Amino acid sequence: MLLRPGIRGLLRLPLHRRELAGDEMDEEIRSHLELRVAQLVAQGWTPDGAAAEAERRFGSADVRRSLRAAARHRTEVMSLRERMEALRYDVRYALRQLWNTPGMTAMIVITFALGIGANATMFGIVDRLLLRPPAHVAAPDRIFTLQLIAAAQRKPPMLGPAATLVAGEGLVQKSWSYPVYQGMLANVRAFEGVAAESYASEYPLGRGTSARTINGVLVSGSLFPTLGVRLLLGRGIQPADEAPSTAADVIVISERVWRRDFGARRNAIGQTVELGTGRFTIVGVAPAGFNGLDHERIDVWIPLLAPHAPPFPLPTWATARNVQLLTVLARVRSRMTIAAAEAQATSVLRADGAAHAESDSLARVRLEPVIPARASHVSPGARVALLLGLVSTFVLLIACANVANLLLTRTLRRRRELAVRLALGISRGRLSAQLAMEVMAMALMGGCAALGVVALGGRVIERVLLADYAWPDAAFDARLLGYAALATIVVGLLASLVPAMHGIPADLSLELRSGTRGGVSRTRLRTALLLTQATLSVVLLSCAGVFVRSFRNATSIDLGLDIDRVLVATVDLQGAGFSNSAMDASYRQMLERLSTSPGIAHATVAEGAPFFQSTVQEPVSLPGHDTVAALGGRSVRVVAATRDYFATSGTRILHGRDFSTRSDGEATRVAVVNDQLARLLWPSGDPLGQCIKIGGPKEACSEVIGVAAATRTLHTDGTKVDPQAYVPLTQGIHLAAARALMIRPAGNDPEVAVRRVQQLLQTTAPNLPYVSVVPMRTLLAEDIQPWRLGATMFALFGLLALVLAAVGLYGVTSYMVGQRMHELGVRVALGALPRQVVALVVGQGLWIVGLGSLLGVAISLGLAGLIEALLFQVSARDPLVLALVAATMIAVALVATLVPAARAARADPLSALRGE
Amino acid sequence: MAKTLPLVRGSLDVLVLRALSWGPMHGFEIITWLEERSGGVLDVEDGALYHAFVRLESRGAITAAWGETENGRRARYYKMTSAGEAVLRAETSKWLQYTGIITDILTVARPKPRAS
Repeated sequence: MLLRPGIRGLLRLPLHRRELAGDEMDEEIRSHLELRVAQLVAQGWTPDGAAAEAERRFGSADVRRSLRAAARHRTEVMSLRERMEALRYDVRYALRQLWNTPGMTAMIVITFALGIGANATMFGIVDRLLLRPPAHVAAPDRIFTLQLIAAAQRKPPMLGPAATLVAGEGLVQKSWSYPVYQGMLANVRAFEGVAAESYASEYPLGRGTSARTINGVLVSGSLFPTLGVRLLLGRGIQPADEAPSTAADVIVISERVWRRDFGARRNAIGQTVELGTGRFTIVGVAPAGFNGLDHERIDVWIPLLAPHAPPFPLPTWATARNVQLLTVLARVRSRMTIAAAEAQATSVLRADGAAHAESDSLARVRLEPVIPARASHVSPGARVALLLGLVSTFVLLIACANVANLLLTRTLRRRRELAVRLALGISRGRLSAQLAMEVMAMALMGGCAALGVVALGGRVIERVLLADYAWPDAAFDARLLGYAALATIVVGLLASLVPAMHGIPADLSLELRSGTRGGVSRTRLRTALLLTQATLSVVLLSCAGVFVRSFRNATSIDLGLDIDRVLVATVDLQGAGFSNSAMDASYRQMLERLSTSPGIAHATVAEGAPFFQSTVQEPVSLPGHDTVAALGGRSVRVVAATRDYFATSGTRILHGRDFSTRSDGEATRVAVVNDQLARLLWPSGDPLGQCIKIGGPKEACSEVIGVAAATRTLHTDGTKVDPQAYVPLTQGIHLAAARALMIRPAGNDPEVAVRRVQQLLQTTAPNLPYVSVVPMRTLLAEDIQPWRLGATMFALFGLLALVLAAVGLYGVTSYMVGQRMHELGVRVALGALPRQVVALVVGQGLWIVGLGSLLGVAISLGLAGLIEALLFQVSARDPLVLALVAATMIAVALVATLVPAARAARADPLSALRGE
Repeated sequence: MAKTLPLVRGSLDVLVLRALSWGPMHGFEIITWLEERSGGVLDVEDGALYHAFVRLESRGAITAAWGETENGRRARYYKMTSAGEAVLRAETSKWLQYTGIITDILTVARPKPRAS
């Protein structure tokens, strides 16, 4: 008896199979009836009678209909079960295959893990820097910060960050005065809520040796309601806290501080802390991860008008329109368009300008979205992060190409096994599915391992590169996990295409014979994959190279002062309630203490020195002129310092003298100008002994006693030399917020003195708030951050790409050598020297990598425009970098191919000949 | 024609499995075997038998494939799977236990009424 194979029709569509099952049932019933009739006729029935009897015994027409339906249902159930069974079998088979080749599996899984991990890490960063709205803000797409756009010739504010000149827009200013904020609050109907907050800064917490600082902001009473933040505990700062009659010393603390300092106890509400000059009552705890609109970590929110709120540098801040220190944000009503809201805000601003001479009457208001990706200007750090996100996708592609290559090698090695299975009757579709399953399994393992890479990479980046950003404590969140899962699936599918398309033997008879090699198309594919890898690696390494050079340029530039030899100490005496004379006395005491301590070469107290947080800008004029044409309306940066300033900072005096020979109390006003200012004011004459008026034409003369070398400030597009003047501290404007100590320890490395200097200063007086001491170099850290980030990350990714390319090349060359062992043996038998065999194998790899390097260099040159703007004093087409990178790539390729080549050189001529 | 008995619910499946325990058969073979074995007493409607096949096939107890009879006719042959063998063993012992208990109960002597 012959049974037809039951797997027939396994791959037919289910609908078709259902119909087939119904037809089969009909046929079966027909055959049954025929047999029955034959039996009955044999028993003596007439044919007609037999037919009727057979029908009767079978049952009614309903029975047949229900049988047909039952058969169809059965087929459905069974085909589903079969498919599940096949899937289970395939998965088990795939896992067994992977287990059998542990080395190859590990290599592929690691490649996946590194590629996906690097990509997901960068996604996490880009997501946080650019895509994600600020945490805990309700409906963030209706929240905007207010920016002022003005004509370029605008008078700078007396206090507050200067506007930046943006091409095509004019001056863009992000800070506002308190009166203008109040005007917006009262008069712009398009806004559902308007709030203001100060820049975040460190406020003194506690006193004496237990003193420390806490990062906080001063906020309007409307901030929490406008943002729609739900407090974790207690209440937020309320409008009543801003009303002069009800304002009280209350604060909201962060969840972090609540947990760290109050053990996360509910009774923290109502407790008091000593902050600045007052005792503040804790009224609320902000939800974990809430930092307002910023990335910076905020630990305390203080009402702007709290009686003992840390004061602003100028007491007139609440009424003066030229003290612009507040960020103003607004929630636009849901029915209002942004343009209409901008128009309303602009008319309110202009009305205010018309009423007050010191305000703007021509400027307009722009509403800037708070989701960084939608903002009109992206910060350099975020731009670098975005670029790196792109780069990590490159790395992922390289990893993908690498995996594809390894897989191809792996599948080709198994061609005989696959051919045998095909010959035994497995369908090509099923075989492809099985191969794809193996790749997916490895991709999934790689994806899981990638989470480890993300956790590690995220921590490194957070610690080393983006320390100022407020990262959430958890390394993962749903978005990151979702992205990693998506990346894993996409990459797995992409990579599984290769063996499914190219791994399955086309011609069985050819495969089953021994000694055959892979076809031409596969070799071409492998070459293309290797070429892609080499090209992308060279592009990445070139980027790394120019970023490293940018970073080095930015750090090694001569800034005109010994930034690496100086420490800067800041202490918020004003915030701790010291009077002006008490402040002066404290600084004198600290200077005294430093000058009597061994190991300190020089020290000075300075206001507005280069790289300090606050600067002092003042108009400068000459006798007989109201303005100086050469300055073009610009104000001049004024540094006020005690006598040792030049010795401490290392700024050279070019002519004349500094003020070290004078005593501080001397009455005549003197100034040192930098050579930039000297050139502008006295293009031909001798500046020494001249008179300049610092602060305006009505001020008294200051005699120029010396000319100092110019100092530079760093900008993304290079360095800038600003006109600058130095005056004795006593003749400065006494801006406490801009004041700090500069200390020059005796040794070459000031870092080692940081702790000692901190203790020296902190113990000068028992009532001092926390004295923070940092190397001056770190004040620059934020300015050079983009290059640091770029250099580090590009170097990491470039290295990763290089390693991947090397592994890929090694794997493929090894495989080729293995395949050609026979041929090589014949060559040796025919007299080829080992040297020639090595050259043959290495030459093949080098040819591919050489071409890849050329392509990579060409692409780097083509893409140079993309990153040029992010670099510092180096061209993206830097020939040195490109040459070095290409050389590195070729050297690595040499090493990666030499190992298999050495094996090729040992090809055995005897076994080759025996095989013939 | 002898007087026929209706089939007890659920017993047809186990009878089919028993028939197939000797080897693959087609539907008509099984039904004639059943008629012969029961001397024509069991009343099995032919259609019901095919329902039993469908049930058993979707439980995985039997498989089916087209083949040819000795006379060269096309017929669908059923074959018991190893799962089917297990079902047959279990069902048989259950049936024996069941009929044993029913027989016991039905044939036990009536207890004496209690003296008042």
